[in-house]
Amino acid sequence: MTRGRRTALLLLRLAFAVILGWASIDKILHPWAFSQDIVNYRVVGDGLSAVAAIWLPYLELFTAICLLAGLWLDGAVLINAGLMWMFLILVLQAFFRRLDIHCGCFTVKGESVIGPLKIAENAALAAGSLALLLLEAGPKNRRVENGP
Amino acid sequence: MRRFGHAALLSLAALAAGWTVNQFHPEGIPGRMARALFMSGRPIRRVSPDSAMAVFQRGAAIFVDIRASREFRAGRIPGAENHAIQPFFRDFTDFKKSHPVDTAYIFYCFEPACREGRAMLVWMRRAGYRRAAWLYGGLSEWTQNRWPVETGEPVP
Repeated sequence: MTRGRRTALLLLRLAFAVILGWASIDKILHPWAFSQDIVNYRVVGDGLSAVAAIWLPYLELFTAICLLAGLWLDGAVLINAGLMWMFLILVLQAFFRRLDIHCGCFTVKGESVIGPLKIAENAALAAGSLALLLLEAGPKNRRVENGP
Repeated sequence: MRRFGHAALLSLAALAAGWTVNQFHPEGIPGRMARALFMSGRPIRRVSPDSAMAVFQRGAAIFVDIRASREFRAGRIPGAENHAIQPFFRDFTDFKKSHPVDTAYIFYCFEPACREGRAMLVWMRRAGYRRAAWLYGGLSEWTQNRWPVETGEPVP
């Protein structure tokens, strides 16, 4: 892996760790409000939204910790990409179904509404997460032992 | 394959942590409540503030304010009954005696999310109250719309 790729990988890891960690805090503090945000997307019902509201914020937090610390990095970048693409699809479907809802992306308290700007933000994050996944999965440094 | 194994372990750890913390978190979703919501199948009925206003004007439902009595006296939807969450669960047998199952009820709190109201609705539906619903937006949105609010002791 070249130095440039290593730097890009590190920067992307840190950026997504901050984004996911920050996004998880308010959801962890207010799970009921977050479950309502999930219901508002009209993709899952109350039951699954309650389970998702229990699970997703901690998945974001644990993924952020792994990205930051470099633990289970292969799994963490995969989850990161999965989450980012899922958020993009959810936001897109809400936009095209003309749902007048708050995003619930970073806070649960009536944050930004879903519009072109939010879609662009989520598309950029999804693209970044894919780049991180490809960088991490790319060729690794191999130490070549010098011969006698 | 190792990548998927790590991702699966991370997901399981997150689920276990979320489940555990929510048991003790004062605003958490306890596991039994999540399970009840999951198993109940049908969605919790919710009404928008506009629909609730229409129902209010027709007098077609009993509004149930689930906040503490002090907050209830400070401002409520006119004609609402006060059933705070703890006495409600404790005295549910009495509630059931005096409230027919086929009547429409709309539960509300002040804040929009109203976790207690949703918990009470799961309980109500299990007890056969199929027309119970929850006011999405709560009293905060009701007052923002400058709709009527009653204060003081309720008139019997």
